[in-house]
Amino acid sequence: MNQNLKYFLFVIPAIAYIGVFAFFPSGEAVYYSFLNSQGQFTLSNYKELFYFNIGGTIINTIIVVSLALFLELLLGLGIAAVLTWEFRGKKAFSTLVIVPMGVATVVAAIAFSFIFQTSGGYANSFLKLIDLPTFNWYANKYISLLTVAISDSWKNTPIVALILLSGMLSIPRDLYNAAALDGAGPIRRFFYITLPNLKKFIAIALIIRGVSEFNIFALPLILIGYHPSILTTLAYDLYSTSTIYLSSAAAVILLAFISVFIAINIKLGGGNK
Amino acid sequence: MMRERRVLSPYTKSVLHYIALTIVSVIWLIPVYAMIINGFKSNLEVASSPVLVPPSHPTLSPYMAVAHVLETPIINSLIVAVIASLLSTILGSMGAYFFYVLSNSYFRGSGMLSNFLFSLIALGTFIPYEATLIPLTRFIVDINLLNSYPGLIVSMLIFYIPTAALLMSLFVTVVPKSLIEAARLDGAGDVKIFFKVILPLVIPGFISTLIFIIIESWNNFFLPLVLTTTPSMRLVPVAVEAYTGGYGTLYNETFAVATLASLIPLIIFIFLGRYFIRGLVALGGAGKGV
Repeated sequence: MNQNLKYFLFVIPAIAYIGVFAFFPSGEAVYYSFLNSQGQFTLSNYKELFYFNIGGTIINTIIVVSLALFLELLLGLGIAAVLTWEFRGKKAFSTLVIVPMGVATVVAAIAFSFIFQTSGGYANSFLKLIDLPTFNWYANKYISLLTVAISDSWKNTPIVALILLSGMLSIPRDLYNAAALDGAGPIRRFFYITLPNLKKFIAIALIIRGVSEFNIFALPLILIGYHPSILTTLAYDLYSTSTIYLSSAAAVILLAFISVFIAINIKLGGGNK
Repeated sequence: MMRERRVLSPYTKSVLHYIALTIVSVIWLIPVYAMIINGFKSNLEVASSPVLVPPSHPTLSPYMAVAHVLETPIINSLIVAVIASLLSTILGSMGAYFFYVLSNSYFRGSGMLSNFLFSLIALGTFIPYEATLIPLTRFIVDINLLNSYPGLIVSMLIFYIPTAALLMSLFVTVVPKSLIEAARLDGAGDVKIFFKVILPLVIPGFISTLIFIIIESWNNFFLPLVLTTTPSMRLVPVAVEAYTGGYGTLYNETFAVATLASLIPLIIFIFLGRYFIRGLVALGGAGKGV
């Protein structure tokens, strides 16, 4: 029996590490968020967050997360579908597709800040080329958030595409052949075979990306700065300009949102069966 | 009866496919293209010529001018990313091996224990940096590791050990459990089984995980931003941000810095990307039990 339980030793480093360095600090952050500068229990940190427009920040965060996830799933499905075909140059194409993963987020942010420049940026030059009106990509809050979502989905679509591709390859070919024999066209096959069978992989992609989406920091910081703010930039802004207690409160709200998001996803995705 | 379709010869059809793919690939690569070509322009040309046009007089001077800015950060980043990713992949694989053995043993409560520990590790991947920011920074300061390699590596491991454990536990499930039983009958201990039986069989997965984590840690911006205080300890992303955010930075040098900063991850991806994709895609068949 002793011999058999030795394999427990293998998980102890990982668990101990996570416990000491991840759970303990997050617990401490929750604790700080309820303290005032005299070290007494208080709720005023959360109340004070309203002066920093916490409501609007939460809405902004949700807008960016859902827009980016939507774009990533859409593009990811398209790319994954193409990569299931056999064609010449497929290797080159798949390498091209994952290039954005190799580009540092900071670098991508800088490149996109040039793309979305109001005068002379790529985006506006392109719109002019096809005779569409150009516009100011930072004119208001919603367009700024859209800019962030577009840049982020460029950077992160590849990993979504790869997860979905791996799901698509696990669907038995026979299903498609049978459906084709019954006269189902490509579009119908996609909606009645591919999508239902991909459910679990879409859930995995949503969890992995969704959580990191709540955490995006470098992109919004460089593209739009602190305004309009999202939860991560607000927490960092408060960290550098205000008390650690206030900043902790903002971080705890972020933590709460991520937990809710994971819970919803696990519920919908049917758990880790 | 099949529906009527517009008749296209297979040849035209495949040409159309290629045209569509090319257009999509070009749009996809515009940010990278912009970065590279504008680094070869003079500053005047960046401002005056249309953005998509390649330089009329390509010059290397922007790259020369910024090379010294990134020299130290690249060495720093290499040290931190390589050590952190190796450590986290090995520790993560060990964790994955544990879950694999546990899922094949049937003592009372093994299922519950496995679920509990697995959720614990999975939760670790989801904790936002901002939540751990203050306690972690204080801790790193307390043990005198602020602004040092060990401090950066220790904090990166927090986020990458769970990632590695999750990815590796997907890969480890493909190893047939009869192999482990056979090794055990031959009297091999867990350490030996792990290093001699499991690791060699999951090398493709191990490499995918390693590549993924090297890239992620190379590109991590938040941790080095908070945990380094002097320019000589900066990692690449922070150095890039500091340089381009500076007053009066030239456009062409901004692009040159961006290109140089992405060089190593891009090279890794262009040459090893195939193995990365292969490893991940192999999960499609095997990952059903996960």
